[in-house]
Amino acid sequence: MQEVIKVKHLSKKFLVRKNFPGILGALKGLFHSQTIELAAIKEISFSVSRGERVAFIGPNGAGKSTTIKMLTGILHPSSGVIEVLGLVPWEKRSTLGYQIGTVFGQRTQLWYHLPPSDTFELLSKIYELDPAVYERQLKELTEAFEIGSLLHKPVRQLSLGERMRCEIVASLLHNPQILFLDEPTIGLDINAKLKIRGLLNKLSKEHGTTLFLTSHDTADIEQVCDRVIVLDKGTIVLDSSLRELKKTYVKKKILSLTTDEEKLSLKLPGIRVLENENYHFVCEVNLSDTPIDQVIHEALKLTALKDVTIEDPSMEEIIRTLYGTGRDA
Amino acid sequence: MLNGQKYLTVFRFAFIQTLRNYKALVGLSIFLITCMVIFAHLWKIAATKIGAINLHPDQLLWYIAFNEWVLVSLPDVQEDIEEDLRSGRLAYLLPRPISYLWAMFVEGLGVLCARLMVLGLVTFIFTWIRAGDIPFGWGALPVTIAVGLLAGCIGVIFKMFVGVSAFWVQQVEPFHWIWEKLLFTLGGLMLPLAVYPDWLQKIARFTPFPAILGDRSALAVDFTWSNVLSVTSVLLFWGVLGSCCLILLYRKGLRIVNIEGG
Repeated sequence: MQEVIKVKHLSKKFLVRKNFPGILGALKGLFHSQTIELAAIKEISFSVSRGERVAFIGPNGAGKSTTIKMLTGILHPSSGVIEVLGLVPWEKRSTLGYQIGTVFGQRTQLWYHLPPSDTFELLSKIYELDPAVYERQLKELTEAFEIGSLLHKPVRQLSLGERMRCEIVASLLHNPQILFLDEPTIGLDINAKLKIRGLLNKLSKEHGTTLFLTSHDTADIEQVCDRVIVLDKGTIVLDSSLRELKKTYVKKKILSLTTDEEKLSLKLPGIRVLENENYHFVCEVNLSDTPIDQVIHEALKLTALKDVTIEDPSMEEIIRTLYGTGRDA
Repeated sequence: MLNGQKYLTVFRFAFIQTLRNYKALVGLSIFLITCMVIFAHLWKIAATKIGAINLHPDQLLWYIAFNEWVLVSLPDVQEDIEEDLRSGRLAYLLPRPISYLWAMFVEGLGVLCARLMVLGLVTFIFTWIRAGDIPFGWGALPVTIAVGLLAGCIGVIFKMFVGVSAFWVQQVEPFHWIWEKLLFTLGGLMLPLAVYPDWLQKIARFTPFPAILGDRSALAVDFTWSNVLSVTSVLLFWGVLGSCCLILLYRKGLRIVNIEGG
């Protein structure tokens, strides 16, 4: 499959002014400045194929935004190579602009007192769209994102979820090959989040748009992406498919049993009891110590089971583990 | 498609957005009339105490009206640029195939033109009721309006210059305050330039401020083609110089964003 993003040994260093502690330090800083070199990105390499849906995640300060800024041509790298759709972003930012789209959750490109239709018309001029192409694209996106009733309402009257749907449409009008999304669901309620995620999935499947998403909401990653790149302290600590990630890192399962006994006395290696009362038994099972079927088998020896549920640990927990790995490395 | 169409559309929507936000226009109109009343009284006192103003009170009101009309119409582009830089919105806008600087300029012009139109009408009606007919021929009105628009454009360029300084200082309000106060004093808004000592008057002549305000507004009471030519040429000179400096400063600032990330 064609690679649309190629990153090789990419590094970015910043010169940061060193602050001295306390009041005296602050006063000293007025007359004497000291700068230190900070490596925000350290020799990272990855590539993204056309149509892939990549979650680019990491804790605050990991270097996600810095990388996205370099990929969109805003920031120049200190060393390394970047190619986005065959172009070097910081050399051909304007040309690249016609082929990529950006959605930043807390920023807006919609004009506040005007309806979204006016901003869309403006964007059609900015991206030099043929009027017929623009009309067709707008019609298609209006239907897909269900914004027909919002088109002529002033942006100031839209809810955050409605506004975000319009923001995404604004970023897609010129039919970009890659869509960069930075926290696209931040601040939205659960229904709006679900809607946005569903629409992004649909977009990617129907148009083959490559999605490059950063988010602190693990549900965005689980429901939209098929690949995860985890960045921590400027280095990639994991680059794998979502399925692989779960397979590799899910070493524990949560087992819930509804029993005939009020309490269950189950003692096996690798079991941590989380709840054991009112005919309800919940435990965390370490699979490397005891297989899950053995736990159920042992429980059946003690009581009849009315219900059995086996759950994976949450994505959030897995990712928290990964961030920890990066710090220890 | 010509690139100019992009900017024309930005201008059109800035113009429409300003008109749609009619509550802000009502607020500006009230502010403008209040300023006119205050300055009319201030100048009346200056005329009687200092004796440096040889104008009839009605002429004086037209002069003040022409000053305030452009001054209040100037959009706060410096705040928008500062906000874009501080919030990181600039990073969102830069990848689009349109120059951020020129888009901001034409957006500022769109706001300026809409305000000049509405506030011009408010100023004209108020002054006409208070002071009577305009003290120059009706044929000269389009010329004074055109010169007012040119002065407004120069004002936008200088406000953008202040805004772009946010690349270095983060907060542009102190610089804007200085620019505004220099405009008020050296531009002949607070008091006539003739009141100031010779050396200060000479300094004022080396700045764009009199052409943006006082000298331009003086056309309302002393309209001659030589005065029009003089004010226009000074404004054009400052427009070209200001634009060149603005582009240079912006490019230098953008380099900071490109290297340091803003």
